[in-house]
Amino acid sequence: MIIAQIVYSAKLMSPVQYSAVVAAIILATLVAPFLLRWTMNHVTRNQKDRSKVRPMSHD
Amino acid sequence: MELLGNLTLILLATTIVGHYSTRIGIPAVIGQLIVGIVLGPAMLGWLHLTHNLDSFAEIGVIVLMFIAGLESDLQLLKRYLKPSILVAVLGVIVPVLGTFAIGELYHLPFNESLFLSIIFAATSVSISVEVLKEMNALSSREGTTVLGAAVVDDVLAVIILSVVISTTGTSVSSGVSGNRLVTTILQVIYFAAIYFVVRWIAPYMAKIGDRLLIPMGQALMAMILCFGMAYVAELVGLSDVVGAFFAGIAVSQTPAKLTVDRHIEPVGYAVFIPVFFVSIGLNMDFDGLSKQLGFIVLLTVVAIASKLVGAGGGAKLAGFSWGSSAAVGAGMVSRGDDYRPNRLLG
Repeated sequence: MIIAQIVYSAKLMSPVQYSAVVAAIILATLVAPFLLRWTMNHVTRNQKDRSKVRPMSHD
Repeated sequence: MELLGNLTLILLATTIVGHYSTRIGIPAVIGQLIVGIVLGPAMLGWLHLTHNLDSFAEIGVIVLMFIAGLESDLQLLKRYLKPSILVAVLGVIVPVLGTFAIGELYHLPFNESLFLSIIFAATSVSISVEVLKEMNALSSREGTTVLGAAVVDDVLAVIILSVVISTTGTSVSSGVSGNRLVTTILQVIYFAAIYFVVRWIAPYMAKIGDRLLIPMGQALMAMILCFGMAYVAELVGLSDVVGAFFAGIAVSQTPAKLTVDRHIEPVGYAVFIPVFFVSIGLNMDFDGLSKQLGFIVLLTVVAIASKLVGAGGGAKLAGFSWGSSAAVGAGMVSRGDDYRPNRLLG
């Protein structure tokens, strides 16, 4: 958002385009928590953990 | 005093909406963002982002990220450094390509497409932090990777913007004086200094806080460290929230951790953090948007999908399962809370 403001104030973007960009940023930001919660619920519900990544052993 | 009225309105609305959105299973933070959109210029016009509110919001995100640092696991962050780097790097590359393609599709000039792609490359994880906190998953493998990636992302953003500004010859007013080399050296020194803060300064401050003859001694010392590190981070062209995050990590390594957490959370959540989430919604304005509906929808879809694919792909490459990778990708989707005025000006 700040980048958008800087780009806008540096006159690299028209006002209409700027508000479109801000709208898209906010829409994506509104969707994000739903996505995160949904996917995290899925992860925690999945009892069997198929991830291969593990913390490196502590020396 | 206008500020008091605004604060009353914000806290009243976020409390009610937060309660009911949690009740129907929607993350409370969504309710708070919507409060901002509804009360702000986009709809009712009762609230505007005044200088005072903006300051409260900035303190809100600083305290939020301090708490995130306080509650995260330093050992885990270190062990998940490689996945974090992969997530951050791919989480920048794919959105840049995706949104640049949209710019080209709409026949924008090269520079505009380039800036469009940079705008959508940024990630701000404070909303994800809030959702993960609500789910008690901040120190899970996915949560840790998202936090680590946020720090890497901040460094990447500084690099990318300085490269773009120097290649396109755009002049942007700089918050940091001196040339870029000096700034870079200062940033490296800052990261090196974090080690000393964690190792010596924070434990020493915790010890003093314990002995102080005033109430909230440890919380006060923690806040001094938090705002101090946020301030210096901003001075050297990094973002203040990353400074606050490291301050939280430093305090988390001291015996004062639990006390500080118990004392700082009420300050954050009862005043500043709700203002921060509402302020994001206050940026929204529907004027003249109907003509651009197609552009907005396409931009939104690509903004979401490119982070999911890029950051999630990074996680998958690092060995996470598909489900965990999707969660990491989803944790990197949000952009709107980018409260980092100085992060780009290095």
